[in-house]
Parts: sequence; C-alpha cells; structure tokens
Amino acid sequence: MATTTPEERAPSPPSGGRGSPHRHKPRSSVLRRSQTRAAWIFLAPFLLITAVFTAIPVVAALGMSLTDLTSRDIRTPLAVDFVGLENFVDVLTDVAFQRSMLNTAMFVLLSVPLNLVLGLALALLLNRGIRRLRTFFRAAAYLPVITNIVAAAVIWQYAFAPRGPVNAALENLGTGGLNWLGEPPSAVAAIVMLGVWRNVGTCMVLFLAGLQSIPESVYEAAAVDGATAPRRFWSITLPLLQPTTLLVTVLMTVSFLSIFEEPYLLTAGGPLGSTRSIALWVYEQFGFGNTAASMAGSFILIAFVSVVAVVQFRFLRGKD
Amino acid sequence: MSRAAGLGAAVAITAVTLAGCGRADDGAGASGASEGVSDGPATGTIELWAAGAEGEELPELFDAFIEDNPDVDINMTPIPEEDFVTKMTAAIAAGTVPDLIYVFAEHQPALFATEAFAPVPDGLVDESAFFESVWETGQVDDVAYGVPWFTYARVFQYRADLAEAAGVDAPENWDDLREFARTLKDTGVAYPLGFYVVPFDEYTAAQFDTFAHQNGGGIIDDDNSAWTINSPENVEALEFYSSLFADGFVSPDGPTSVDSVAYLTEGRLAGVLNGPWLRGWIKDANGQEWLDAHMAALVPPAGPDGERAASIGGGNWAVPEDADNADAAWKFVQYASEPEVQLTWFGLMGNLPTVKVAWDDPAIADDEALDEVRAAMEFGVPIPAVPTWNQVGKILGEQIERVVRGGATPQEALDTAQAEAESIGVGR
Repeated sequence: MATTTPEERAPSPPSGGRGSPHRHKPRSSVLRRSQTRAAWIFLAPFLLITAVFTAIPVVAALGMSLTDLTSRDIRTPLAVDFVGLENFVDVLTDVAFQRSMLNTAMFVLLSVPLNLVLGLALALLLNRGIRRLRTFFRAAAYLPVITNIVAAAVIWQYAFAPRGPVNAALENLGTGGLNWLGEPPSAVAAIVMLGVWRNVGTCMVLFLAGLQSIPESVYEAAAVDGATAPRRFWSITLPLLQPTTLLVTVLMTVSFLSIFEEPYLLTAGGPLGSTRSIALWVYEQFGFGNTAASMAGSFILIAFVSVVAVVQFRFLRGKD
Repeated sequence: MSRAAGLGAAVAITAVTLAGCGRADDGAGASGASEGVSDGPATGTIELWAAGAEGEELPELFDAFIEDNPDVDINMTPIPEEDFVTKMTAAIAAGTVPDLIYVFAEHQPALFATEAFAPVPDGLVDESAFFESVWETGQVDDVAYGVPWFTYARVFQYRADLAEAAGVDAPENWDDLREFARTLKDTGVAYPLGFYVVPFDEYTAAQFDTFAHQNGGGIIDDDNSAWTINSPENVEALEFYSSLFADGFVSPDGPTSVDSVAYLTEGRLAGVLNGPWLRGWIKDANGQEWLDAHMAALVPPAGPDGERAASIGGGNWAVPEDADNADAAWKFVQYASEPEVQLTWFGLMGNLPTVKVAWDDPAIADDEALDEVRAAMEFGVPIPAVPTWNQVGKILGEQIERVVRGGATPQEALDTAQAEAESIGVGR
C-alpha cells in the first residue's frame, strides 16, 4: 500500500527548456494543460487496474469486515448484519492470530536484513569483483525470482525431508541431520531460507542499479585523497546507496509481512503452528467459511503493511 | 487533499453499502423445490471440478457418456484437495461456479453450509438403490443435495510377508497392534506403523476419532449437536495413540498417505490405516502379483473392550444452484449412478460403489481385502457432519501434534481443543 498518489506520479510541469521554441506564457499554459491530460491518459490503465483490483476490493473488504458475513451469505453479501468492530476485537484477541502476528514478525526480522546484506554483497561482487561470466552469475542469482514457487517449494520440501539431500550433506560434514520441517525453529529457518533464496535476486538487481548510478569520479577523487577500499565503501557507497536501500527495505518488508506461499507450500503452517503467517491465517479462515473474520484479518494485515511502510519512509529517508 | 477525498469516498461507499445490509428474518435457505431434469440427451458443456487424485482417472468415464450424448462436452478442472473448499467458496461468491462438482466427505459440510447447491431433482436416481447410510451423507435437514458416488472404509493394510517372517499375527486389538509394531521394529522396520500425520489436520483428527470410538468415546455427540472432545474415553484413546509415537512405532514426520506406497514397498513401514485405493496405488507401482504376495487387509484393531470402529468416507456429486448447465450435469450424475459405471470406476480407482447391486459383481464379491472393507463399513465412523468440521478438525489435529511431538499431555491438548471447539460451535 506504499503507492504514491496520482499527483505525486504526475510529471513535473514542463520547464520550457532549451529546445522549446515558444516561451511566452499563454502557449506554455496550453502546453501544460495538454501535457497534464496526456499524463492522465498514460496513467489511466494503471489507475483503472489499481482501482478495480486493489482499491475496490480493499473498500469491499473493509465493509465486509464490519458485518457478520460467513460463507453461507456469500451469494447475498448485502443481507448481513452490521456488527461494528466486533470482528476486529475477536481477531485481535484470537490466540492463533496473535501467534501468526508473532510468526510474521519473526519472518520479517530474520528475512529482511538477510536479504539486504546478501543482495548488497551479490551486487558488489557483480559490480566489481567478478569479471568473468558476470552475465552468467547475474542470471543465476536472479533465476529464483522467476522460478515458479510451487515447483521450487516441492523441491525444497524434498531437500529438507528427514532423509533428504540437506541432511545427507550435513551428515557427510560429520554433524547430525535436523528434523527440518518437524521442529519449529528449523522449520522457521527453512521458510526464511526459501524466502531469501527467492527474493535476493530482486534485491541484487536493485542494488546493482543503485551502484551503477554512483559516479566513478567520486571514487577516483576519494582514491586520490588516499581513502582505503573499506573507507570508500562506508563513506561513499553506503551513503549514496541510501535511496536504494530504503526502496529495498520497504519492498522486502512489505513482501515478507504478507508472506504466504512459502509457509503454505512448505509446511502448511506447521509444525505446531510455528510458521502460520497472518496471510495464511486469513486464507484458512476464508476456507473455514468465516468470511468476515478473514476480511478483518486481512485488513489488519493491510494496516500493518501501511504503517510499517510509512514509518520506514519517514525514518530512512535521507535529509535532503 | 486527494487522500482525504479518497478516504471520504471509501467511507461513503462503505456507508452506502452497509445501509443496504441486514438479514432477512428467516434464513434465506434452500427452496426445497426441485425441478425435474429434461428428457432427451444432455447438450452443451459441463464444467466439472474434481478434487484430489480422482481427477486424473475421471476422464476415462467421459467417453461412454459422450457416446450416448453426442452434443455434450465435458470440461474437467482438477483442483488440489486441500484448496477445494476455498476455491469453490470463492467461485460461489464470484458467481463463476462450475456445473458439477465432485466433493469429498471431508469438505461436504463446509460446502453445503454455503446454501449454494441445488437439491437433487425428484426421480433423478432411485434412492433405494443406494446404501441408506451412504445416501444420508448427501443430505442436509432431510433434503438431498449430493448423490453418493463412491464410498470406502479405512482398514488396516499391512505387509503380511514381513509379519509372517517376524512370527507375529495380524493385530486384532490394541494390544496386538502394539505387539505387531514392537516385533516388526525389532526386525528392523524403521517405523512399523503409519498414521495420518504431517500436516496434522482434520485427517489426523478424523483418524483419532476412530481410536476414540474404539475406546467407547467420540469427538462429537450422536446427533452432531455438541463437541465431546475431552471426554475421559477420548483422553485414554489419545494416551494409547500417542504412546505409539513415544515408543518409536510411528513417526510424526511422515510418510504422508501418498508416500506410504514407497515406504511399504521398501519395508520401512509395515502397516497403515488407509482406504481401498491404497491397494490400487500399490498395484500401479508394483503390479498385482507383488500386491497379492506382500499385502493383506484387516478390519481396524478393536479397542480394549472389543469395540470396533473404522473411518468411512466417500465422495458425492453436487450441482451448484447457479450452474449454467445443471440439466446436463444432473444427467451425468444419473449416468454415474449406474452400477456398471460405478464398477468401471472401482476398476480404475479401487473406490467402492454406492449402489448396492454393484457389490454383487465378482470383481468386488470375490476380493478378500474388500470383504474386510465391507465388514469395516458396518461400524463406520463418518466425518462429523457439521459445517465447522474443517476448522475444528484442524485445531484438534494441531493439538494432537502437540502431544505426539512431546509438548502436552493428552488431557491438556484435548481440553484446549474442546474449549476452542466450543467457542466455534457446530455451526447450526
């Protein structure tokens, strides 16, 4: 929900720059109006899709979350009673939902830093470190992003089976194998690994773009001044990457707050409910026929995502 | 400015929408009136949604139907079993329902609770041709919404060759079952017994319910009006059930029902409680000869007082009220209720017919393993026929997981499950 409003997206007013033959005012105003119109036309498909597939469902979900809608009413969703915030109170006091909030927080706190660090490390390697086969490595790191998650999850499930390859490898190293998907801590670890594996390519590509936008001359000047490589990294690369870091942090936080496929496919929320995310809880409630409760749950999730995104934008934005 | 406007619009839309809300005084239930099916062959396209592994074999039955009804097309979409209720509920909400579904006993109460299914037309099939107890599974408040298509009882299926080599008899009761497991464990079978474990859901709960019944208990009362999950008999049953895990006879990590074929073949598993289709799967994997030489079936072991119980289930056909081509869909149901068609299906999937006369066919009558299935159906324990079953079953399954993974005592787990089940209710 961290999208900008249409106004923020609209192009800035034309500056009437050097190439513009007519600079006197009336013409500029006409030009401006026609450009605004063009902008709206270009934006229309996006706005329409957002409205149909995001805005309207969000409003509808808000409406439904205030009623006693269940699966029995879904063909006549208006013939229900208004119950106010009752569903929200029920959901927030539900032990399983509270547990899913904790689980989700755990996924975010573990996965987002890992993604940032690994994504940046990969981007640095690909930007400078690796000279041969750079395209190959870049494609390899990005491959999981475009891999079908269902197929990937089946392979991971097999890999983490008690007698699967991961444990075989661990036993070869002399350590005992783990009951990966059977014990809560290792099941959480497996989900985090799958999530990081799947998202690190996106982080890498974004960081790579950020790195390449830093002018070479800055590094040259620093080198002339005698700055060591670590110093250049801390004093130039990281500060100049800040907008990218902010973007990646927000994207990953939002993505892991709404984590669903990984636990759904790998563990079905188990063992002992330790990997049931908020989104999975919502999905289950919908399947159980508790439609209004699932709407309330998804609305609480949307609220979390919005709040976290806004807070991150406020705190991580550079002082410019 | 625009944010405020957007928010205002949202609130306005919500308010307007809510203003139109409110329940009618009487529940807008099913009309009960059922139209007949037209004469003549079926026409048009039948959109059919099928759940689970059955979907793969179902098209084998289409050809003969299409031969008799040349103007009909059947478009089948297989849906993963665990997503079936969710997808179907979403389709009902969106008004994009198929014409015909094939619904497992496990999902039926939740789906029929949507009140979005059409009653079975009068005279479509001869009710008395079906097993009475099976016909009842398709009814809600004495109105039939589902036409039973196959049925089964889960029986104890085991590696008879391994048991013989180890010198242990087939388990007749709980003590035997433990003895069977201990003996085979000693001969090197990693996990002698396989139960419905990962992901510890309503299937686990339903399996536990049969152990509860074998001990004189049960998780819901006889008229499906109240949960009785933490009764002393149930606690005792869970103590026995979980002790098999604690002694290392059952693994909480699997194999899953599907994997059990490979585990049984390798001899890493010696006995499971599963439906007759398992024999079909083993036959597909290893051939009839292997099946006959290695596997045997027996009614599930009896409880301490000799009480028997087996979990039964099956699948019913149902037609959504909003179906575009209900007429053709019902005609397919009529076709699927013919004994010969049910026998063909039995040949393909090992699922047992719901019309009585089909059971006289030698294919079923002469099969010893199926004798046990038939015997087990006598004391079958059905899935609790309440709309909240999937939710309560999932909770109970997770509580059982707490016990077998060592976190809770049977009493604690069943008390927790009972408290949650009571707050959810039976949904009626």
